[in-house]
Amino acid sequence: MNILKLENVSYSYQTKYQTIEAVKHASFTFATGKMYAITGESGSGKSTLLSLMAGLDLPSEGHIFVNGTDMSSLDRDQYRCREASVIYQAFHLFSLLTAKENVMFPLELRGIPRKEASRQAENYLQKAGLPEKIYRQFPPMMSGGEQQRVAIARAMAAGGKILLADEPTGNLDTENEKKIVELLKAFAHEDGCAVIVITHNPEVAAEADKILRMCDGILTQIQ
Amino acid sequence: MFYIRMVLRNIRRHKYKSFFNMMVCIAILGFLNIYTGNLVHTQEQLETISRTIPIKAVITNAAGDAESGLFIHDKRVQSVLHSSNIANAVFTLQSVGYINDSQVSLMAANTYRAFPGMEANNFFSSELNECLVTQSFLDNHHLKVGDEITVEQYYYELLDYIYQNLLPLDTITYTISGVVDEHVDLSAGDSLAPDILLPLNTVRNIYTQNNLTFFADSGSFTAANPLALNQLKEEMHEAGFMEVNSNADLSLDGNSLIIQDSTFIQTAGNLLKGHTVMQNCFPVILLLPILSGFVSSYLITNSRQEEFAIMRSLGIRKSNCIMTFLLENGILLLLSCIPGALPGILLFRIGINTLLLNAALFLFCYLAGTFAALIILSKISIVEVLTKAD
Ligand SMILES: Nc1ncnc2c1ncn2[C@@H]1O[C@H](COP(=O)(O)OP(=O)(O)O)[C@@H](O)[C@H]1O
Ligand SMILES: [Mg+2]
Repeated sequence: MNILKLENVSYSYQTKYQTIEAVKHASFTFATGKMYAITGESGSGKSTLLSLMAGLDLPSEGHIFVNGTDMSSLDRDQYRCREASVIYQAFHLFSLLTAKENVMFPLELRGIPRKEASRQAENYLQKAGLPEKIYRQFPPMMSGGEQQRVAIARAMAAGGKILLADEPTGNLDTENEKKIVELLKAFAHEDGCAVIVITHNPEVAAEADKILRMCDGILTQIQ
Repeated sequence: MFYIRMVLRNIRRHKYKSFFNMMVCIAILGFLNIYTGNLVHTQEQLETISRTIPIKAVITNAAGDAESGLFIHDKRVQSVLHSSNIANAVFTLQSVGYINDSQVSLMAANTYRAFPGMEANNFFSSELNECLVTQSFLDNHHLKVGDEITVEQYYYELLDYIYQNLLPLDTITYTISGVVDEHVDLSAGDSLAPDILLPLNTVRNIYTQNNLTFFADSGSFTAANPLALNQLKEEMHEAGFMEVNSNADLSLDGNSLIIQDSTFIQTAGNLLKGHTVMQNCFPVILLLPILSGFVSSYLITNSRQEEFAIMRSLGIRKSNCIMTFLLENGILLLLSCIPGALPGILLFRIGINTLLLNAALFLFCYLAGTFAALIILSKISIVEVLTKAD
């Protein structure tokens, strides 16, 4: 099922001295149940495109449709709260919340009572392959792989059908990288989400159902 | 509920930041309380001094050598009587009249205070045709209280500032409503002691009915609040009073003012100066909580950019993010109010009202600073914070 549709999307940064066209006329349609990889040189506009899809900003030109609704007419905070989750290279967990509290956060934000949120959070943590002793630990005490798995558990807990990941394995060793990719694949294939992964690691890209390439702001499908 | 729980958890987990924040708040609030405590304390001292050493003012002619027998224009009389900066204004007007060809001396006043020794009464604030008389007057004219007398009244007209002309005013019938007690001092200045006392407004009305401008012939008052002396001086200046000038020409125009403030200033001068400076600096002092609210919040929120960005990326509205940070600071501030009040209470025993007012003022200013810092924080690019690789 198509969920996210880019239509002629452009975005430029206005700085004092110049205008940088970071994304140029990108068009593509993402469907649920699939994992996509977006590759490209550093500075080619991948993160910018991702932040547009996350609703953190609106395109300068063109449209992004979520389930057929134009993003510009959506409540984008609500969209991030209910539809789309983002994970990052630097994990970005709340460092003063335990692993479990981090996963409970989006659940409680959606109004799920504490007890139920706690139960569900444990479920997601388990699904992300984390041992129980991790639940009560704070992120700075965990390894990078563990942190990223907590981040994925938090994204799953958010309950949306879109997962956006910006270099999720950039800070991880090969072994952890594999585990994370497996999780993301499962998230797409088993939970029926649209998983969009930015990576410049060809091994990660190779695991995706479709591979897109970003070059100087231009998006093309290569496989 | 979720947000409140989050805020409380943040306060607990960010314990060093919370502690630092509270310490700053306690220090500033303590300072604010000491400052106002000192201010209130000096104010009280000054009030005691001003009660024991009232500041008197006398209306004189331009040269300052006559305090009675003057011509004080009604306009000036009224501005003194209606000023909120003035207490115990006393105006009098003497004149003569005839009852069946025998001369009587009349004196109008606006208050019993014009007559040393007189018991407090309301007689002089009336506008009725009533009078008080001396016992000897009653005896001489074979009258008693309750009788009526008909007086052919005269008034003085001022010519060329120095010449007085006695002219008939009107013939009025008064009811004798009382006798002046024997030990009341009626020896008004150097003129004839009066036989008949009248309310000033009654006489003023007679002038008005005859299309004449009213003049009082002596006037004095005290400053209602010695601490607002400058305000009083300004007001009197606007009302047309001048400062005494010993080189001025001879005149009976009551247009100048001698304010006897030297004793007060000698006693209270330094205190007063300090008080004025402190009072004027108070708005500047309020910048302190605003600035520290801004700076400490800026430092703290700057180190919490990531937290803010994650909250935003999880779909929490900007306004809610700002609210939670504000609430967090607000709770710490409220907690700081108690220890922050101690120095003021211990050193100056400042009252609960001042404490609450200070706390409210502080809270408001500090949170305004915090709010400004949060607005800056909310302007950061979430994407930039989150896509940084480490
Ligand atoms: N906040 C910004 N202001 C100005 N230019 C920016 C900003 N963020 C990114 N850019 C520029 O936009 C282009 C695309 O950046 P980005 O989307 O981060 O690329 P990638 O993620 O592929 O490395 C780059 O040229 C970068 O310099
Ligand atoms: Mg990037």
